[in-house]
Amino acid sequence: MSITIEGNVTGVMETFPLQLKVEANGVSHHVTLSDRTRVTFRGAAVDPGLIMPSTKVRIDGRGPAGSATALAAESIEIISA
Amino acid sequence: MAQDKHQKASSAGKSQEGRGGNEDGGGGSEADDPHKSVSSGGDQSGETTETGGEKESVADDFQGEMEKGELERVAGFDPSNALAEGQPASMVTDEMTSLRDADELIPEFTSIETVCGRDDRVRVSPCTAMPWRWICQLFITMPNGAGFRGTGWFIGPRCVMTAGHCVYSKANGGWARRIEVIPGMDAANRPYGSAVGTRFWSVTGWTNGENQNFDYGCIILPTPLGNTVGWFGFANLNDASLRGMIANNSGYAGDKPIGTQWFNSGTVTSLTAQKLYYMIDTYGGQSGSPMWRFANNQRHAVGIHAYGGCPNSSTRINAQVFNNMMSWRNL
Repeated sequence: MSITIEGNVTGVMETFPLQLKVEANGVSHHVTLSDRTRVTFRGAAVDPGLIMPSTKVRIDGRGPAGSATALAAESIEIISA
Repeated sequence: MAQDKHQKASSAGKSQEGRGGNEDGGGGSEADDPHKSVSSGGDQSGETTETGGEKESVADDFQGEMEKGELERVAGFDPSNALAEGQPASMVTDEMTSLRDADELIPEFTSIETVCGRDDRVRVSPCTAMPWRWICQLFITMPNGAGFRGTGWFIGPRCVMTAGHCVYSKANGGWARRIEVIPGMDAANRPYGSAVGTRFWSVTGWTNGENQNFDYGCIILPTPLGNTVGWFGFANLNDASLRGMIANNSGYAGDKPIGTQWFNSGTVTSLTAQKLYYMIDTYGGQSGSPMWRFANNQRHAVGIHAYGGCPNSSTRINAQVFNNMMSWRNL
């Protein structure tokens, strides 16, 4: 199931790849990055280490059936730091 | 005798079984105690005991059955770099006590990187001395097939501490399917081999609500690999002891060659009853790594690193965490 969310990062769990908590529309989402996740800022690819709490992001990913709050990120656009 | 040291623990002014004030607001009834420990096998502990208040509790480290007495040194680590970032770092020797107070320093918290300001990390190689061999690369496989790398550290013969999110992730299917633990990994070298853990513990505050304040857990190995390499001590220190304390961190950073261990140190810049904050450089892959104090030739972990963000943060080893670790380390 394809999912797009836009919200603010509330937690950066430092596994590798990272796992994020992202608050979007009042709902907390668990976002799992993979080594294929593309992270961009102003159109350029950047290191996922730039993602910080309070960073505003737009995330495209896929979620498992039956869960609206977990997604595996395919791309993350950093909207504002 | 080494075995005596395995069991050594002390609580200044109060026994481990004693109960005191609840400094964290994490107590309450047994049913809603967020520090109530739970395992991947469905086991649950009783209500956590609290030593609380200003009392400090300490469990000592164990050097392993191989060798003893190395000084802790990291070639190439320049403490002046960290000082320039407002963090008094040290070579992790007793000289740390002569460093200036954190209040005298000007923080430079301007970077938006998890590596905070200048990257002061230095590679530890080889990792066969203390405490580096106590620290482990983790290869984590979750039930949904997602794979992560993290860091853990021995606190007992078979017990490896780490972050709660390394052993349990609701979004990825719950308890980890398996975690390979490799102490002292150094690139392709596995000087002590590895062990695969399939039994894990955390607490309900993490497994039920994934509350960042309770993000800690452990891996129980099928073999007593800790008897070979040794393990960290750990301590529940009071606010006064922790504030401005020089803390050390070392873990398996994901932006570096796989299996390489990276060290950094600095001060605890702020704290709550359940978290420690610092500008010590970390990166993805270092979740679960130890934050430790080195003093009087003893290494006591005081936090479990878990989150990036400048300040980066760890779960504080408070009274409840300490008591769970005491229970878990002899499983």
